[in-house]
Amino acid sequence: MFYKKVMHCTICLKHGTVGISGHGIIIQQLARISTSQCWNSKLPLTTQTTATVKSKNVPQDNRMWKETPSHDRKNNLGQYCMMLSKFRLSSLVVMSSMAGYALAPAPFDLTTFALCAVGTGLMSAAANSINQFHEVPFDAQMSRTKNRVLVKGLLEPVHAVGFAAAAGTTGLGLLYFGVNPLTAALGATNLILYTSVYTPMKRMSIMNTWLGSIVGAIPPLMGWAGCTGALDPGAIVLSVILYSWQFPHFNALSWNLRPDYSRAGYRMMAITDPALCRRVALRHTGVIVGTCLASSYLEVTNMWFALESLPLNIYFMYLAWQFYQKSDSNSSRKLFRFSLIHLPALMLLMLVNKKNWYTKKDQQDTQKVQDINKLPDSRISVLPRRPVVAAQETDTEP
Amino acid sequence: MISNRIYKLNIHRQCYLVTRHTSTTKDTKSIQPPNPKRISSDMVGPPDPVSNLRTVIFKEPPNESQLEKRYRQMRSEVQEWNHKFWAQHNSRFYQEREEYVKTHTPADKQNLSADEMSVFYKAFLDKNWKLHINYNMEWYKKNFALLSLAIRVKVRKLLRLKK
Repeated sequence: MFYKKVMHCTICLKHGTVGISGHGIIIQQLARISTSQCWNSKLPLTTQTTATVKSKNVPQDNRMWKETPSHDRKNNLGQYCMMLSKFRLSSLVVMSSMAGYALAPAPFDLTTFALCAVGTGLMSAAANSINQFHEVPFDAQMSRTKNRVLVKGLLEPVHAVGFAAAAGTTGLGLLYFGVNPLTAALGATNLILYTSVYTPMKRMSIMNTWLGSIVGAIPPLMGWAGCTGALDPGAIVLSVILYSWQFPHFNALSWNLRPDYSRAGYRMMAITDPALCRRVALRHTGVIVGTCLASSYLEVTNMWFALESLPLNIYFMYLAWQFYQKSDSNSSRKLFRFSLIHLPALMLLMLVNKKNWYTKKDQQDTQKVQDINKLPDSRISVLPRRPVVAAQETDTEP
Repeated sequence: MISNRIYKLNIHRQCYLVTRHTSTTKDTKSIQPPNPKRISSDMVGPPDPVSNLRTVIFKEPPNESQLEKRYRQMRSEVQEWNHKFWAQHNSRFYQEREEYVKTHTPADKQNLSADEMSVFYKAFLDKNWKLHINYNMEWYKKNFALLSLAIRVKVRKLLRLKK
C-alpha cells in the first residue's frame, strides 16, 4: 500500500509540473495519494485530475457504483457478445467442427462448409451464454471467472438469455436449412447436454468431466455429418481424439484451481480424487496416440499421418507423465498450455494427410476411388490442390 | 494511513486544504449506497469482501407498475438470500481452513503443500455436498422465476413504448 503511494507520488511529480502553481502541485499529489488511498479502501475517487486519464478516448470509470446494465452497451455490444459466447472456446469448437467437415469423405462444398462453421459457432455461443446465466453466483466466487459480464453487472441475465435465444435459433436454422437435419439435431443435442446436464452436474458429481468430454466430441461429428450427411465409422476417429483430449486439458487446468473450486462447490476430480485425475489424464493421452495410429489404419488419413503425429502425441504423453509423477502446479500448467497447441496442430496434420480428397467428379467415378484405396500407403493424398476447389466452383450448383 | 479525506476548495484560484472527519458532504454521500428514489438506473456496487457478490441497488421509479414492483422486490430478496448464503459459506470455509492448517502444519514448516491442502478441500466439498445440492436447486428455481418476470417486464415496456 505504501509502495503504491510512493509510486503515485513519483508519477505525480512527473506529471504535475505543467503550468500549475507550486501550491497546486502539492495539492494534486495529495489528492492523488488520497484517491489511491481511497480506491484501496473502497471509497470513491473524490478528486480526479484529468492528467490521470491514460487512454485517449475513454476516461477510466473508477466509480464504485456503476449503472447496471452498463450505459454504453451499444458501443461495447460486440465485446459483450464475444464475452458471453466465450469467444476463444467457441473458436476452438468451430475449428474442430470445420476439421470434421474437411476430413469427411465427401465433396467439399464451400457454402455448406461456411454455414456449418457459422451454425456451430452460434450454437456454441448460445450454450456458453446460458451457462453464464446459470452460474452467476459461482462465477463471482472464483478469480478465473469473476470478471464475466453478468457477474460485473454489465448486462442483465435476461440479456444473456435473449442473446442465447437469438444465437441458438439462428444457428439451428442455419444448420437445419443450410446444412442438413442430422447436423442440426446434433447441434441441438449438444446445446441441451451442455446447458441442462453438464452445467448442473458440475456441482453434483465428478462424472461431469466425462459428460463434458462428450460435449466436446460432438462438434466434429457435426462437421462430418454436415459433409457426408451421415455418421460413418471414420467419424469416430476425430471424435475420440477430441473426447480424449478433454481430459489432459481440463484435468491440468483444474489442478491449480482446487481452492477456488472447493469453495465454490464444484465437484472435480482434481479435488475429490487427485490420483484419479492424473491417471485419467495420462490414460487418455495414450488413447490419443492409439487413435491417431488407428486413423491411418481406418484410412481416414494416410500412413504418413501416423508417423507425423507420433512426435506430437508422444510429447503430449510425456507431459502427462510428468504431471502424473510430479503432480505440481508447474507440470500441470505445462500440460494445459501444450494441450492448447496440440489440438490445432493435430487437426491441421489430419487435414494435410487426409486420405482422399473427393470432388463431385470422383463420386460419379467410383472405380477410380476404389483403385486409390487399394494402394496401401499411397502418396496420392496430399495438400488440397487449388484445382479441386476451383472445379467445385465452376460446377453449377443444383 | 490517511484516513481523512482531503478536499480541494477553489476560491479565487487559491487552493485550500480542508480535512473533514464527518460524512455530510455530497462526496461522502456517494460512498453510501445510492438512493433508490433518486438514481436513474439500477446501480451495481463493488464485490462484497466476504460473499464476493456485488450488491445492486434497484431504482424505484415513481410510476412503477405492480409487475415491476414485484420484479424489483424479488430481485432484492434473491440478492439478499444469495449474499447471506455465500457470506456464511465463505466464512466457514476460511475458518475451517485456518483450523486445518493450524492443526496439520508440523512445527518445522511454514505452510502445507498443495497436496496436503487438497485433503482439506476434498473433506470440505464432501461435507457440504447436501448443502450445495439444496442451494443449487433453490438458485435455479429463483433464477428462472426472475427470468420469467424480467421477460414480462421487458415485453410490457416494449408494448408501452410502441403505444
